[in-house]
Amino acid sequence: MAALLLVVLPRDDPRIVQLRQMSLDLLSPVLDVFSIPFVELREASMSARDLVALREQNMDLREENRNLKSQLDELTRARLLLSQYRKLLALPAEPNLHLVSARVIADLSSPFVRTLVANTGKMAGVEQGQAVLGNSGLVGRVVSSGRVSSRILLLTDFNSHVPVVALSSGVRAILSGTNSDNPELRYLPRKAKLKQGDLLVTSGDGGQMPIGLPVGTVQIDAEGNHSVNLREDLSQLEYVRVALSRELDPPPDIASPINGLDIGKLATSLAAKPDSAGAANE
Amino acid sequence: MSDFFNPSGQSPTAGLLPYFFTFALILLSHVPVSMPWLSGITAGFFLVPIYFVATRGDDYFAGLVLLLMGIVNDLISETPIGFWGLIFCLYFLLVRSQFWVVARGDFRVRWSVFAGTCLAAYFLAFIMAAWRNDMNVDALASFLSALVTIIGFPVIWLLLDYFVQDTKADI
Repeated sequence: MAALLLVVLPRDDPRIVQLRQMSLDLLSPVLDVFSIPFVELREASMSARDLVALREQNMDLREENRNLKSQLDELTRARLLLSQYRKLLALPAEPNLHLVSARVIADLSSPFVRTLVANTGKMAGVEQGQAVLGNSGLVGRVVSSGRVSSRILLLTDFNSHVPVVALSSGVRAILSGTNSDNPELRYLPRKAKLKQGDLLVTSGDGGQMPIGLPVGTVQIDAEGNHSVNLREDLSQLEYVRVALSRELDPPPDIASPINGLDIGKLATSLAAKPDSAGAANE
Repeated sequence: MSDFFNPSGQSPTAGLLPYFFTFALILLSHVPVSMPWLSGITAGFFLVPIYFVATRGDDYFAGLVLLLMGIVNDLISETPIGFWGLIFCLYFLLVRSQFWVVARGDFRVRWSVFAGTCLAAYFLAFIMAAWRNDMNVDALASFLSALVTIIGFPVIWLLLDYFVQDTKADI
C-alpha cells in the first residue's frame, strides 16, 4: 500500500531529486569501486585489440594528421576573420566552452530510463542543465548534481528534448528521445528540406545549451519520418565532458581599432554623411 | 537479530546474507559494462536473492526490508519512487504463493518457477511504465532483461546456497 502511494509521486519533485542526488553522492564511492574491474577489463581488451591493429592504426593516424594539418591553416584564417567580423558588428562573443572531464561510474540505462552517473559534481562547478559531451558529440545534459556526482539524462531518454539546427539548411527542430537508440526530430517546419546525412548541431535556443555542439546526422525512413543517427555511441561511454556555463563576454569596445581601422571614427563619419549630402543639395 | 530476520534460528549472518546479496546486485546492475549489445537491458539478478528469501518463507519483516531495498533501487536508478519497491513486494508475494511448489520441487522446478515469476515481474514493470507518461516503454528490452536474468539464475542461486549453508534448498 505504501509503495502504491509512493509510485504516484511525481518523478521530478525537487525533494525527490535532492534525495536521489544525496543517495548517489553517498553511494558513488561504492559504485566507483564496483566499476573498476569492468573498466580494467575493457581497457585490457582494447589494448589487446590495439596491439593487433597497431600498424594499420598508425597508417590511419598519419593520414588523419595530414588532413588535419591542411585544415589548420584554413581554420586559423576563419578564426581571424570571425573575430574581425565580430568586432565590426560589436557582437558579444559566445562563451568559450569550459569542459570538465568525468568518468561514468553508473549506467542506469534500463528498459524504463536512460541516464548515467558521472563522478563529478558541484565541487567542479557542475550544475543542472549543463550540456554533456562525449568524444565526438553531445550525449545529454545534467539533470541533477551533487557534491561529487551528477546524473546525466541521455538524448535517447523519453524526457530529453534538445533544440537543434541543421547546418546545411538552417532548419530548426526539437530532438526528442524515444525508446530507440535513434531520437526523432519533432516540430519541423512544414516545408523543411532536410536531406539524409545533414549534420545537426545544437541551436542554443532557450539559452540552456551552447550553440554549435555536434549532435548527429539526419536519417529519413521510407515513410518520411525524421530521426537522428547520433554521433556518439551512448552504450560505449566511459568518459564524458561537462560544458560548464559561463557568462557571455561583453561586446568588444567599439572605439578600439581593428587592423588600423578605427570603428569609432568610421561610425562618426558615416553618421555625418547624410548632413554633408544635405548641405551639397542646398 | 536472528529472531528478527530468521526465526528458524540460523546465524544472523546467514539470515542477512540474501539481503546483502540483493543490495550488492542492485549496485552491480548499474555498473557500466560498455557492451553495445546490452544497451538498454538491465538484468534483474537482484530478483534471485528475493526469490531465495521468499522460498525460505520464515522472515517476518522480509516484505518491509524488500520495499526499502526497492526504494534504494528507485533512488539510484531514476525510476519513480516506489516503482521497484512495489515490484519487489509483489514479486515476493508471488513467489510466496508458490512456496509449496518450490519447497517440494527439485532445482529444475525452482528454475522454472523463477522463470515464470521473473517474466511476471518484468511484465508488471512494463505495465507500470506504460501507465506513467514520464517513462520509457520498451517491450523487447524488458523481455531480454528477463531472459538474461533467467539465464543467470543458477550462478547466483548456487552462490547463495554455498554461503547460506543451512538453507532448505536441495539442489
